[in-house]
Amino acid sequence: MRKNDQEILQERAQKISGLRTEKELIEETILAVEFLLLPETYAIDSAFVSEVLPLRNLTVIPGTPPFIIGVINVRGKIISVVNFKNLFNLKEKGVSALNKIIIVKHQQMEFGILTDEITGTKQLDMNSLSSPPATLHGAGVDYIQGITPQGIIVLNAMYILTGNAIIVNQK
Amino acid sequence: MDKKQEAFLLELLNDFKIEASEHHQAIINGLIALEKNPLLPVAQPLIETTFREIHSLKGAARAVNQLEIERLCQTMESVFHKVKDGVLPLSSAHFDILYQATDMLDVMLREVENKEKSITANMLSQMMKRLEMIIMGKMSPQPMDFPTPPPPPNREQKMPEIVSEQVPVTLPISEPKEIQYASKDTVRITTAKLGTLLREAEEFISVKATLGYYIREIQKQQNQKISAILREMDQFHRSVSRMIDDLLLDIKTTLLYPFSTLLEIVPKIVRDLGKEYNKEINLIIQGGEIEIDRRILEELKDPMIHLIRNCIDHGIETQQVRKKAGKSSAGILEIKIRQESGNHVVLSIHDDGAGIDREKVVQSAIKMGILRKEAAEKMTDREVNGLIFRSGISTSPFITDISGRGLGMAIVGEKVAKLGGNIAIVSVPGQGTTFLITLPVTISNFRGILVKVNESFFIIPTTGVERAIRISKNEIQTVESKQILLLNNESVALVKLGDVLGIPSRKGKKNEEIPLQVLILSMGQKRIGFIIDEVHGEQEGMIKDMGPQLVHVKNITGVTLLGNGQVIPILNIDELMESATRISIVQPAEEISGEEEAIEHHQKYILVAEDSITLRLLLKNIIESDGYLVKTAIDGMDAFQLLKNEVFDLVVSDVEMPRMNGFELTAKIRKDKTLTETPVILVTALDTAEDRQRGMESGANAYIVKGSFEQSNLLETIHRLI
Repeated sequence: MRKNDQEILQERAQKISGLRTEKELIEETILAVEFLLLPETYAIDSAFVSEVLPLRNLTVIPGTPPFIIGVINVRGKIISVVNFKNLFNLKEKGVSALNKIIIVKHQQMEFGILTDEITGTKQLDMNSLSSPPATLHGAGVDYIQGITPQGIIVLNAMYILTGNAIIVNQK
Repeated sequence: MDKKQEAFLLELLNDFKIEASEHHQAIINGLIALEKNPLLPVAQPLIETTFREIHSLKGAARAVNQLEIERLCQTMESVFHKVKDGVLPLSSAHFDILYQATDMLDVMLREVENKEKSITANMLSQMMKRLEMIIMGKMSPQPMDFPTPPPPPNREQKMPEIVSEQVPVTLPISEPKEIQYASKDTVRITTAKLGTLLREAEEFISVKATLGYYIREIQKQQNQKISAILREMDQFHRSVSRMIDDLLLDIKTTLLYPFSTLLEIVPKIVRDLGKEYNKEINLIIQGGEIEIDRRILEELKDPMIHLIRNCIDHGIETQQVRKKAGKSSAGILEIKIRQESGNHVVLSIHDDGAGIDREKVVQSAIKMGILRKEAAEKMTDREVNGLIFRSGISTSPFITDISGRGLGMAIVGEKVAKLGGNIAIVSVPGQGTTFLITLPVTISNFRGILVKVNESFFIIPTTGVERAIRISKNEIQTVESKQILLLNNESVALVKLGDVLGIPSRKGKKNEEIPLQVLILSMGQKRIGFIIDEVHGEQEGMIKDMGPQLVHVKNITGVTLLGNGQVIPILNIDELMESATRISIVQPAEEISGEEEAIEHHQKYILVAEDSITLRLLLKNIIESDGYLVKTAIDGMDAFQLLKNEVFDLVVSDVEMPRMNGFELTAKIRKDKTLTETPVILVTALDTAEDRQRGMESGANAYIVKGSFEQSNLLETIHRLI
């Protein structure tokens, strides 16, 4: 009887929650896009990354908070660009000619993250993450999911994309 | 009138049916999705949407007096309320009942205007009982995510004990849906689809502009061989432009809708309000056949209702007062639409009431702290009337349901502005008030003036620009520490656009003789002169939003694209005027004529010469972030020109640049008597010992290689040098 229950349960679980089993797998390791916000190395879940672009023709929008460096035109669509260095209190060390933008998207929300360089993609074991170091403080700490043993700071993409903190509404 | 009313009700019911069928479909979609994903994190948004859809359908049904539908929705809503709170996990048996309820809704919706209904009161109450049993938890839930017995393969077998207690609900067979609205020469298309089509067509505006831009760029090259091709291309550009214009025009025409669709709600509103205030009102409507973009019509509904309420509440007097004033006991409310030249229509709402009480408006403004007593006396009627559009201003002594909160007119002004329109008031004491709303016929006809302010470009919508003038500094007067310009005997406040937008201003040694470029903007009755650097002509384009992250940025409506793809912010005239007023109240406007640089005296001024736009902007941002003022040049030649006109503390220059490279620029600076002391930092991709040598030889103070840019710390180098 018990066994029967188990079987049925499994069947049902497969039927109704194909999504869930997949999600459990994802939660252990994620494919992340790794990038530099000098001097640190960061990573963000690639599931939220829609594309990567070189920074071209940035337009500054006056009156926006300092973490918005401006907007760009991506094939006719206007996308705002966030400078996380500002949110993480990282000092600007200089600019690189190779600045890239990672466009992140979740449901309606979409914006670009300014990076110094994109270093590639990597499988990250989410269970190995440790909590952010005490040296990180300020609002930025909420945006961080954890730190890999190699010292890569993993951004909490879901929080960043669903939270209200970085939405600008001066109405 | 009765017939008209009846026809109106029928139309209303038709609209309801269209709306209801959308909600109905959404509810079904929600149920289907929920049944597939009953587990929580995924299910939550589905539960929310389904709940909202049921709620909306309920509201719509109530509005058209469909009480049975409302009751059924109410009960379904209660079920979802529990589900939403997490108290009630839905089982598949629950879904069955919910599906049956939606089937019943479907029949009821289809029979809305029929006298004979196939759903009897008994059937309805049976259905509601079943739903109530779910709510009370009398049906043992069978959540699919717990190890309980498996769901039976088909619905009939589920929950036999309950089904047996019930009177089976049989539903009449439904007819196919689409027949009802179809007609031979019209097609029903959702506005959303038309909107998409329009947006896609609008993208061609930038194609047109881009093509023109490239042609102009090539023309500069002056090459014999390509000039023949260019002529062809120019021809092609012309015909493409015409095709695009035609396409856009035709698509926009499909979105036009007569005003009468908006105006049909007016008689009932006027009658109800008249009764409430015990005022007799003669309503006159003219021009309902005139067409306008239906999106504008939709947005216009609330402002129009508000103005009508204003006319009836504040404008038209009570019967006794009217008799005393020798007026007819019935007040007149006149709503007229007329086509203005070209692409505009004017909606006028007029009452023959008491007119705007200047004193009350002024008192209210003083109380709000917007106006000082002394200033009030000097105000023209036009200026006083303009105050009405400021939030918080009300002439009503007490707050009623309808008006008196003072917020309404501010919202009206804002909404009209957002539609690209303009609103004005004409009021004659004792004779009445007229609101004149000028609107574009189509939404996306956006025209603006491209202006340059402190090295940045902005577009100001043409609708708000009264005129552009050049003034000399001695025309500026200072009244109560404010800068004012006299224009046709009316005083117009002057502000610097850069100050209002908060972008750092930087001008070199300014020539007193150079006239100032001023744009007079007007919104409602308010007029303000904005000082800018240059006017760069008119631009046509479409307003784009700034992405989902920037929901609303003060003073900025959105952006538009220039032919070369450059993104230019469009200013929000309404907010700009508001901000300008605030600036001139909070701080006495600083001296406009030259001396202002004293405040920024300690700030160092740096010239960045770089031919790559990206790098130029980034260098600018980086250096500015450290508190320096930055001006940019596109190459060595441009930089040297700027150095001749203004004084810079330091130059940061790229090496590889057209016309004059970094080495040449440095050498030229060193040779110039007045510039020779200016420190120069060369930034380059070239990293050979030879180049370093050349850099030093040309007289550069520092040499930074782009590849190792981040380590070499540009700012530190700047600090060291100045």
